[in-house]
Amino acid sequence: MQWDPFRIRVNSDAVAALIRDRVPAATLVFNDGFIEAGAASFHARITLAATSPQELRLAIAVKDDVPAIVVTVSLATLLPGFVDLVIAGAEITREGVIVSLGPGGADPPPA
Amino acid sequence: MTPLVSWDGISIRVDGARVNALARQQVAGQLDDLTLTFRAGKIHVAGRRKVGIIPLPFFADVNSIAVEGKSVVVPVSIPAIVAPVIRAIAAAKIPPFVTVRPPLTFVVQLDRFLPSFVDVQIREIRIIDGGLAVNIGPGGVSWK
Repeated sequence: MQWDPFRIRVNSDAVAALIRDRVPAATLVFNDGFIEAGAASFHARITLAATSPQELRLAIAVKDDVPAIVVTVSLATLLPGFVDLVIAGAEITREGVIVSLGPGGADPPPA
Repeated sequence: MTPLVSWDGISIRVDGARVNALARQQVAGQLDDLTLTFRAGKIHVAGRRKVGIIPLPFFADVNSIAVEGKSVVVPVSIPAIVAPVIRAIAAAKIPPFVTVRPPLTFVVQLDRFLPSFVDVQIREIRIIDGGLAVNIGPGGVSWK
């Protein structure tokens, strides 16, 4: 099967709730272009460092004068090998993360 | 619950040649030949089964595919005389998520494929040249 480009939204409230479930003291506030993350005395600003067809890189900056930690979210780790899905772009907004996906396809192996 | 990931709508095309290959694989040993041809508004099914030493051809058509909730309904138009034979063949190989309504309508339960936290709504399935066009409505994935 094949599909045309489409967009998915990762909902900010759902992500914040998910994080709070695991770390009750954590806060996650989505803004246009960045996410503010905090827990106790820890505070970080998360931005989108880069996107590539197979990866989305998040930069986590704790202090202005310290290089950000880059976390890579790889599609290959989330999807089975027979699914061809590419990231065309992504943006952080107040509502969450909007990811634009390019045309793709899947060819499931025979049962 | 607010879905963690959501989408507005997705158009998917299913390749008829791949469906044909899967169908042939599914009926291997039951039929001697099976070919599905996808044309706009119609899937033509042509097959052959040997009875003794005589190969008996059969034909059928699917003129539409409907969606009923979480099920896909595929009515097959077939001459009444061969319907019992085809039903018997289908019954022998039918997977548990498919049921057959008389005279010969296959009902595929999609929720058997999808985990409960994935909400997918199929709006429409059209038969097009070379395959199927599937229109998926807004949906999402919840995570707890």
